[in-house]
Amino acid sequence: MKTTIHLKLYAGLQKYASASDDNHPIETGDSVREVLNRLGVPPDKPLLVFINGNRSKATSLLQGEELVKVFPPMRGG
Amino acid sequence: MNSFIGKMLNVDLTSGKIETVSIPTEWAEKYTGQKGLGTRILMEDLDPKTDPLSPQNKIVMTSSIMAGTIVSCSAKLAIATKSPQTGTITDGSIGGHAGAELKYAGYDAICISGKAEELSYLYLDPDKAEIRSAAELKGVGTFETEIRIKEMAGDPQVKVLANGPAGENQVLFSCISTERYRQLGRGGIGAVMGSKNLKAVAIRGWLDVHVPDMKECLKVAKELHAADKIDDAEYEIYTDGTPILVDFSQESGLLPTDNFQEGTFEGFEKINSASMKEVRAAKKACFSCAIACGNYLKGSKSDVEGPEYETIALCGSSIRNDSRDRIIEINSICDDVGLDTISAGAVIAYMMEMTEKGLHDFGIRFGETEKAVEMVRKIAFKEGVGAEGAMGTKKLADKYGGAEFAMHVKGMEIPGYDPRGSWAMGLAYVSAPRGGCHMSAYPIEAEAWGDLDPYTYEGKADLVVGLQNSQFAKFSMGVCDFWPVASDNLAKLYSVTYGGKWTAEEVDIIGERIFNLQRIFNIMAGFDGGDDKLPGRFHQENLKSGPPKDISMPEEAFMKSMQEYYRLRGWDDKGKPTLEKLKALGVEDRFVQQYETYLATS
Repeated sequence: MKTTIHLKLYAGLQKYASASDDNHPIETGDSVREVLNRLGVPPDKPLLVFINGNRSKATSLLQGEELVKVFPPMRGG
Repeated sequence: MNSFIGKMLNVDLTSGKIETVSIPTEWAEKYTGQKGLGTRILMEDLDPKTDPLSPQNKIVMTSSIMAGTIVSCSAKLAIATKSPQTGTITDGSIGGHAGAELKYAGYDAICISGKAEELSYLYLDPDKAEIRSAAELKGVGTFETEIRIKEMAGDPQVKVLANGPAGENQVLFSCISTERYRQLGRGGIGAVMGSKNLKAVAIRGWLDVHVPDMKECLKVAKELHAADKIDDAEYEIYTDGTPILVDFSQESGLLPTDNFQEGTFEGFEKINSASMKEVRAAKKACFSCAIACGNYLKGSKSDVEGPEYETIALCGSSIRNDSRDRIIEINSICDDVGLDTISAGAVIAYMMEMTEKGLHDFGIRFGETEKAVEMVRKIAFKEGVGAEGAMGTKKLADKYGGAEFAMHVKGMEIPGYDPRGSWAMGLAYVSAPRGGCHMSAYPIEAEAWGDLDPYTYEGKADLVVGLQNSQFAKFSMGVCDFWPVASDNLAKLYSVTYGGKWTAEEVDIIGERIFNLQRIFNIMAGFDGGDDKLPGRFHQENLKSGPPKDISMPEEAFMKSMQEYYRLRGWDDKGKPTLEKLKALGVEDRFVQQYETYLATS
């Protein structure tokens, strides 16, 4: 079933989509990785994923309406 | 010249005597450069009980083996001294070009002791070293000092390390600047310079630096450059710099808010990287850097290279400041007067909480950001209530109370990561030799942002020990934190720049040796495991939002984990390194004996 998510990509990932897409189309049951693959994000790129504020995995499945934030691996300082 | 030159400039500001002395090759083999070499030089003849603001204290500036070579991100300059803020050893490093310039001037290190009769600066080039008057620069900010020193030296290419008025006034968390916006000096290195009447150090070089095999060095440097993707246009430090961490810390519940009462901040989107990039005018890189993490921003009132994440966290969310312009303003003032933005923000946050709780009226409350701007200036010049702020949170809490929310370790204010959302970070804070510091280990990557459970101590002591050893070696070899190079590749880089065939294990042992040397300095300065503690807030108060909602760090388990940390380090249950451990690490006999005598007589 077609639905949407609120997708936010950060730092270098922004080149694959606008920084914030409040109505990003997905199919119910897509994984985060599948959504990002369609945007051209390399499948082997490590990702840090938060879904509705909870630390999640790229393999996590989406139902629609979630707020999905995706970061590249971070380095502090 | 070889990459290890083997020369140090000894400067006694009291007598005016300047001499060039040899650095034994053994020191390079055991401690390499920067952090390690600075620690070793400081240990040579500085009594750990020395009053940090007395002429007897020393300022040791060190470059690294790799500085001035083709290797990327490796030209920082380090300074080590005894901290007036904590009483521990403290060291830090600064970017820009000074690290390479020192090598081009023909030296690995400068060691400064004594006190000049009048405000002075040290000038150094391959042909001469002189102590010159800087009397006319009294009270002048670091920005103008740098320009004026270049004019006085008659050479715009001179690299200047400038002290500001906060350092001259011996504010305990004053730092120094170079190239206008690069800073060094957590722990009050500016105050130590101030106590010596030393306004600046100016370095100019034109010599060259040789590596054993240029062809091989170029090959390895290029390979690792590509393998670690430090020139990757997607690397977040390249695209955004450290402000990207605001979003990350917010999501992870680590972003200090209202003096660490909370780990998330309502106004975070006004001060995050996306917001900062709206006013970004340029990016800026240090010598030989492929990353260029520096963001040059133009605010409405001032411009700044920065603000870095720590500044946003401590001078933004932690004082309830959601104004980008005001953060830029505070950052710019701190850089010019010479204040550590982490400590300055933390002190102000403490004063705000004390005022709001009615424990003492410092005349400033959370969200009063205009007053915070004024407070920064008052602290630098020790005016009115600013003279109190200049003491730092530990001494303020000793005087007025509120120790459980005076957010420091050993007197150094804690940076921008709430350890309740990354428990190993708490272990890193308390075990870092210089106090509340995020540079000795950064386990957040593995916990809050990695695969490890952030809310357990299980396996964390081991994690922190490993990270610290590796970081201490890396920073001694001069490599910037933002090149995430592991010990095996560090060994390759060291082999092609210094010579020989180094292994990852040897690199980690160098780091462990330096870590232990700093620890015994601190022990002999009067510290022990009883000082390895976090503010009570982290143990007693649960966070109210974000992933660590309803979480605090159980104190008993924390103490148990510290015992595990000591055991893994080969220290006793009071956190004191054993003599056997020091000997096994190859720490010099004279230091082992000095330490043994201290233990027997203390």
